[in-house]
Amino acid sequence: MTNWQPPAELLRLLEAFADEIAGSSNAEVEAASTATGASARATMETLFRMRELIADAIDEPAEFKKRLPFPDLAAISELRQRPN
Amino acid sequence: MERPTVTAPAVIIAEEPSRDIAAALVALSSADLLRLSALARLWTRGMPETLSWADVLQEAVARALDGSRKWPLGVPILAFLSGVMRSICDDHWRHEAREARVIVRSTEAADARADEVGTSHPDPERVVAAAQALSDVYDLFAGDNAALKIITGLADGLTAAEICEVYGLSEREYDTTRKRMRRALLRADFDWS
Repeated sequence: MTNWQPPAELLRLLEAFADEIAGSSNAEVEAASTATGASARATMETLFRMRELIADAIDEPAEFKKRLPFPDLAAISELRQRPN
Repeated sequence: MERPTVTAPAVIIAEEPSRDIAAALVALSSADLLRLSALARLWTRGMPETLSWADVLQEAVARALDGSRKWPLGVPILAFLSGVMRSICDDHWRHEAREARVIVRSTEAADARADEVGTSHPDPERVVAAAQALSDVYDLFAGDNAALKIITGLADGLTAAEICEVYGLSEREYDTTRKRMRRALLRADFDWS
């Protein structure tokens, strides 16, 4: 059982998805991050969580956590006015 | 036509043996951080609720920082951390499988059966879980016929050209659909459950 692997079909799909994510352009990331008000809010939360996670792991000073998030706050503010 | 595997722009890769993981992590752009979180959510899908994508990512970062996982030369850091997270999730499933086998081994009669299962066949629960995971992936794009065709093609190991030929997709339709799928995977509120 320790040598058991998920079906190759599933692994191929997940690897293809991982390639899609890793190979995405910045414009695509930005578009996905601002697709809706909900995704923009989730993006903000994710970025803060990510910076906190990495900063805690490497014991980085608070400056790293406070780096201006992406996308810019003006765009986020505008998106939050839109209905989801 | 887009290829199934594309290269991320401005990737951060290891250049020398003494490379500094911490410096590379700090240098990640916001877009890279979002990609990394999307990768974490991808590999963590289907895991118990007690184990979040952030937990898996934190463990991957910790293993990279303490050197228990070496960053190979020339490998982009996102690809490296993606591989570590995948490995962590695989380890979790193997651990679960071992735990289940220990329970089965509590009786002598079951011991023989556990050995048989352990050496040759996956347990039914894992088979069901794998089938469910595959079904979940298809459900993510339910209603998007072009996406479902591409997913089926990718699962079968077909190239982009083969997918277009087999499923009657134009190059433009293929590229547009891949872009739509990519955006969905990148969304921070994308729900894998």
